[in-house]
Parts: sequence; C-alpha cells; structure tokens
Amino acid sequence: MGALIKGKIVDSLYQKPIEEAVITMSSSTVSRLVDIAQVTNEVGDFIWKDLQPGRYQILIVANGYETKEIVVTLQLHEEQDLFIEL
Amino acid sequence: MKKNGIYEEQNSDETGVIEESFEGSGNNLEFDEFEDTLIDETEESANDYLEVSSDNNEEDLNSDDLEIPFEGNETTNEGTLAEEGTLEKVSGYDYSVVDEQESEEEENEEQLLDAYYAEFGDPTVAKLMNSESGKKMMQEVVIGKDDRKQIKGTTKYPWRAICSLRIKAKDGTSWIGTGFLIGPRTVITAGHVVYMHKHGGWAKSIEVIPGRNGSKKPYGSCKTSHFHSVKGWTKSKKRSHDYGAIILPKNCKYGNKVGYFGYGNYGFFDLLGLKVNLSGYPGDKPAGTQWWHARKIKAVTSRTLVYNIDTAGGQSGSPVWRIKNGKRYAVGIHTNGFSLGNSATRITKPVFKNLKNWKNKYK
Repeated sequence: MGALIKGKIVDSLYQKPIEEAVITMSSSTVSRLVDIAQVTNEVGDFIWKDLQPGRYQILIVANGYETKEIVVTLQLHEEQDLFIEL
Repeated sequence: MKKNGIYEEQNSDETGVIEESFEGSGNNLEFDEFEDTLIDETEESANDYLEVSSDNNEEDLNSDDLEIPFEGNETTNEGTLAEEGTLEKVSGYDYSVVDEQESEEEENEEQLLDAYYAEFGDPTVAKLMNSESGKKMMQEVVIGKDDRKQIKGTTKYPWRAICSLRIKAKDGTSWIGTGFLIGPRTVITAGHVVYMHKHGGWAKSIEVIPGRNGSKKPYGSCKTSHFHSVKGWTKSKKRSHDYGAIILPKNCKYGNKVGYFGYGNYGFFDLLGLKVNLSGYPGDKPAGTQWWHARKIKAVTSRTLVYNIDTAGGQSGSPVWRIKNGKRYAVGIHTNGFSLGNSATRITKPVFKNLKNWKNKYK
C-alpha cells in the first residue's frame, strides 16, 4: 500500500469548490509515474492513491484561475490532506 | 468465454500475453471471479533488448507486422500535411533541436543505454548512477525547456484520429487521458486508462472525443464501457504490459470518418535513434487542447521505448509514431513519465497481434 494524497480545491475569494480542475503530478525522484491526470468532482475533491514515497510537483489547472503548483513530499504509507485555494 | 457480462478471451502466444476484456458495466459484476491463468513470462533482463525479431535489419517489414493506416473519408480545405522525414511538419517547431540532441548524445550513448537497460533489471545501474558520468547523464536526460507545440488544426489527419478521453473510474473519480484510433471503432490507449488498480479496476465509462480542440468537439463524442487489456496489466500490473483498447459502440464508427493510424512491430535497430512524434491532451495546458512534440528514441528495451519527448499527465495513451512513405505508423503507446526519460509500451509482436485482433474484431 503506497502513500495517498487527497484534497479539496476552492475559489480563494468565495471559498466555493472548483469542479473540473485538472491535477497533474510529476516527480524527479519517483520512477514510473503514470501520465494520467485527475479532474476534481462537483465538490472540488480529488484523491490519488498508491503513490511511491518521494517529492511531487502538483499542478492545478482550472478555467478562469491562475495555474498553481505546489510541492509535496510523501513518506511511505503517508496520507496527506490538502486544501488548495486558487 | 463470457461470464456475468465479462468477456474474457485468452490469446496466448510465445511470450505469454493473454488478452482480457470488459464489456459493459453491470452493477453486480464480480471482478474477483476472473481466473488467474496468466502464463509465467520470462523475467525481463538487461539482455532482453537483444532478442529482436527476424525483421530487425530489414528495411521493409513483413506485411504481417505492419497494419496500414487510413486517412478517413472526412475532407478538409486545409491542404495536405507536409512532413519532415519521419516527423510531422509543425509550424514554428525548431527541428534542429532534435539533431542537436543527437550529436550531444553520441558521446555518451553507450553509457546512456546501459542506464536505460539497467532500469529494467541490470544491477549495475546503481554503480553507474553513483559515478560522475552517471550523475552527468541524469542531468542530461532531465527534460528542459518545454517546446511542445499546440495543434490547432485538429480536424486534419492525423490529429483528428487522436482522441481526448474523459474517464470515470469505478470509485467515482474522474480522469483525463489520450487514445488513438487504429480502426473504425477501436481506440488504443494505456492499460492504466482502462483498468485502474487502485480506483476500482475497469473504468466505469470513458468518453472518447476525436480531434478535440478546447471546448470544440468537431466530431462530437461517444461514451463506452467496453474495454480490453491484457492480464499482464490487469492481474500482474506489469509496466511492460500497460496497454489496452476502448471499443466504441456500433453506431460510433469514428475511424471510418476521421481515419486511423497504422502500426508496426519494428525491430530494435529500426527503433533506436528513430525520430518519433507524440501528440495528446496534457493536463498542464488549457483544457482539451492537443499538443505535439518530437524527439529521438533514446533507448529500446524488449517491451518499452524511452525518449525525451515532453509530456504531462493526461497524455497516457498517446500514439508514438513515425512517418514512412507518407503514412503514419504507431510504434508505441505512451504511458509514463520517469526521471530517465518518458516512455511508451513498445508495439512488439504480441502487442501487434492483440491490436490487430481488437481492430479486426470490431468493424
């Protein structure tokens, strides 16, 4: 069982969840990361399971918002819960 | 064999590749009922790349190893696309970069190959990577400046045969990916697009949008829950078996209209150093836009291709193709980002056979 990242993406002004934000992950320390991207649901949530430990760059792209990049370091079996404002 | 809505076909060959498929999305499907009949495969090793097909050094492939493309019945007034050797001709792209890369790499080619092959099983990799030259190599393979080009004329062939995918996983999560047509209603993609081990297994549904350009869907879209992959992926989760197919409904034969890619089982020496194209729908760009890039294949293993073509999440399933005699032939299916270079599942003989079966079965 790998590490896990889940989170919610909201509008920084109104704190409303952002649906259809696209989340891509890349890493220079983790091998064999599949090139698939996740889309947030109607309440702005996403969840990424079974990740290898390492340092990840998470890019969030949403229509009408500035693209945001955050960096997360995951330990073995760690779960991180992110709250991201755009 | 069809059981509880699951269509399971075993199609083994000399390397033990077994086809597996999923038809429909009944609520009561028990995926655990699959019998694990995977034939043990020989473990990949650093020497696997030496096992080349009998056609390795031949200029022209046997017709059994090459499926020809079809450019579709759809016509545009945008003119015929030019080409640059094995690459598409895309306005504004600096093709000299590809050749510069070639000359820079020649000096270290031998060591680079050692490193790539080592990643697939050679224990000398650690020693190599700890050396000064190894560290230098690592820096060199990190993809630098992003010089991907947006394809704006997505209603031209071959761009219209590339499909944006909207994936609904069984656990309710939504994803984006890429696929490409190889027949009237057969779309090839990565195995992890149709079967997501940690998100419920077979996808609940996938919406296929050929030639998408932002919010524009020039050919509409079709949704399906009929997928194929191989047990090497669904059961064993082997990176080397990460490929699959999306079967469009009978009333959605996009390939007849927009055309489809050919594909070929090329040998090691044909592939190594070959300049190839990759185009798909990355998630780090404006939604639904198609982006192209090209580089040489840096390494070839028995089942994978490695290159420094820039990609991002959302491009899994993109075609990696060459042009030959004016026709487009896929040589790989893009799947991974990796610190040593991005990579594709190589269209080997068993992969070729499965693609051909999936194409011919659904017309």
